[in-house]
Amino acid sequence: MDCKDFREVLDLYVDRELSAEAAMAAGLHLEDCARCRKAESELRKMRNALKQVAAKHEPPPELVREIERVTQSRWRFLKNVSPARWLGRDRITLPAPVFALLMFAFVAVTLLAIRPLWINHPKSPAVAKQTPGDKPTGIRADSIDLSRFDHGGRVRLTKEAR
Amino acid sequence: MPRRTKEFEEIAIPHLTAVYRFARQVSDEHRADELTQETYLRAWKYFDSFRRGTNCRSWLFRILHNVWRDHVRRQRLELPLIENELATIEPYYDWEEEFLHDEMSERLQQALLQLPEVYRWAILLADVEELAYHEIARIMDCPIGTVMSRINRGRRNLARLLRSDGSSSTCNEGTAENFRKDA
Repeated sequence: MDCKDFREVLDLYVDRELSAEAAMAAGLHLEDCARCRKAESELRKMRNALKQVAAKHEPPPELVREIERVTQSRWRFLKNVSPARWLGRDRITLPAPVFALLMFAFVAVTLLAIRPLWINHPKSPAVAKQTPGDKPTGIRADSIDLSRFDHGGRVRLTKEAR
Repeated sequence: MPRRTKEFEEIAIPHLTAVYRFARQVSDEHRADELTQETYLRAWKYFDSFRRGTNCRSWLFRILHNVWRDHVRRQRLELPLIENELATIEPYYDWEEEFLHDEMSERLQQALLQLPEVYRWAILLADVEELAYHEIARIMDCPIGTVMSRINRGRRNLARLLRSDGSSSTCNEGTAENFRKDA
């Protein structure tokens, strides 16, 4: 490798992007060439100087706190963030206690809504089950049989003469 | 603490300082706060798409680059163009003269601000973050050849800005000619 070749790959050499063979050839050239060693040294100095310049800045504490709140409390963070940012969200998640409360409320409302249906259900113990054809006890023989209005024997209607 | 939250705090939050410092180099102080905050908002939103075990810092810088690009597009109609940006590497001989002195961080900062933004991105990712070229290519969404060209030109331009800012008055053309004669 000559100086021209080395200068073409100087960036790659310093950035460790050369293949093992090319890096070895470049290293061998550096051992014999003071000018290329100087060039490599100056480039590395500039890289280090850039690192020092970049390291001067530290993130403000309030920025760090704001970002950490994203993970710890999403609802508190939302107050400090423009609502427009959240319009395109794919899903909404709830804290576990809020979700449990909503589920309990949903189940309670559902149970209350179907309660009238449950009371009139054939299997409900609140309804006395009677098979068609059986005369209920205490009913006089001359009472009018209104079983045709029973719709399957759920309730046996009778009329008593007074 | 939910598992996702814990993972985000362990994997992504430690890179916050690096992200902020980079944002500070490609924008002013106020905008750097916005860029950093927006980067982490998006990172949190899309954290499920991050493959565990891969380079999270590289992933965050990719998000930062997208956020920065969106900000630039909002301010201008198009991204800044670099004329004649070819994927070529030029052999250069600018490094032989000493131009870096001890107290020059302010000059270096000013010279960095004068670089075209795409060059600035490339050399900061290579020199400060020490990312591999293929990672830089992925972050900047360009071919590796373009990354190499931008790094090469960015460093040369930066060195010339520093040199022309008042230290050595060596003529680069003359240096090249002398070198060629010697070679």
